[in-house]
Amino acid sequence: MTIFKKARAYSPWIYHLHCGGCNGCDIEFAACLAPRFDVERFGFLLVASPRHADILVVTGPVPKQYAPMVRRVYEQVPKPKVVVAIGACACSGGVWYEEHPENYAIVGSVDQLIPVDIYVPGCPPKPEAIINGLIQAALQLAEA
Amino acid sequence: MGLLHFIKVLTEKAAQPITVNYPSKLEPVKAYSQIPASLRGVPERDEEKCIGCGSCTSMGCGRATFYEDVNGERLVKLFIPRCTFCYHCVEICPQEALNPSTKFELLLRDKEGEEAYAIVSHKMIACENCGAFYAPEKLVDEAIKRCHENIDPSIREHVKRDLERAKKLCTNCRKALSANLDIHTKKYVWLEVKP
Repeated sequence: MTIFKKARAYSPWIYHLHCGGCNGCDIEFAACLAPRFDVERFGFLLVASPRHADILVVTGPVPKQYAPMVRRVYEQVPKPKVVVAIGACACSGGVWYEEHPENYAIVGSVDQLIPVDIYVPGCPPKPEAIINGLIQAALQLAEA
Repeated sequence: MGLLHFIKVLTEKAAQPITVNYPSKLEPVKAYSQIPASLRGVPERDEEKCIGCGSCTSMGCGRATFYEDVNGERLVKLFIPRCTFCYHCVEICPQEALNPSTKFELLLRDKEGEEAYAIVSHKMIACENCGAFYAPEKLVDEAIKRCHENIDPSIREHVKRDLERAKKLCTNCRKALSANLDIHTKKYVWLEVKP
């Protein structure tokens, strides 16, 4: 592992994109940042702008009205980037999923708009599961 | 006592770090915070008990559970990324084949891959007349068994013979051929047959 890769793996910056969720996953994600689970010991840092971020964390089923914003935020994240979808809604539409006819207001899953690298299923996922996903994202970032 | 106890607990807790050591990059050991027995994870399906009736597919949020009939096999699938652990399937299962579990680490890299689905397959019965696969064998056997348990003992043997004949035919052929094979269910009422 070269020094650049190691530096990237141990200091990934996260941007949290909330799109239309019920706040369950967001609270679990906030618990990860708090002292009890503390992802900052691995070098993760929550940043306020997607332009500073390496990892994009997406929660919630994407409302159709919000879909252009998701694409725009994804394009603003500089390469290399990793997208982590947290929760059943972001992974696959969750309870909003409808086959026939399609839901008139909800896109369903984030991977229809932007490429997703890591899925963390659960409704909501336990903080340990989220940390597991973030660690894998950091390792993938180092290899990119 | 209250204040002393508070100070005691505070000093004890302050002495040790509160952060859960999970998952440590340096150590392979994973320390979990706490996993209560009632934590809802992905429900586990017992292959022995499941009969492929599809009750679980009628319940649950977002159609996470569904089945497909492919090449004479019924595949009962659970799409894990869509499962919200509502446990309606566990409640409704007539065979108690679905069990709660506390499995929560469900990281996926490929949503369409094999890991995303929990699949149980059942062999289906082919109709003797038309050759179509119509229902899983275990489901039909269970239905016949329950029918025997609940039926009037005086006509049990006669009905048993009829059911064994009806089992070999699909629903449409059964209707078409019921008169020829003497398996029409209404014959007990119409003709007052008393075996």
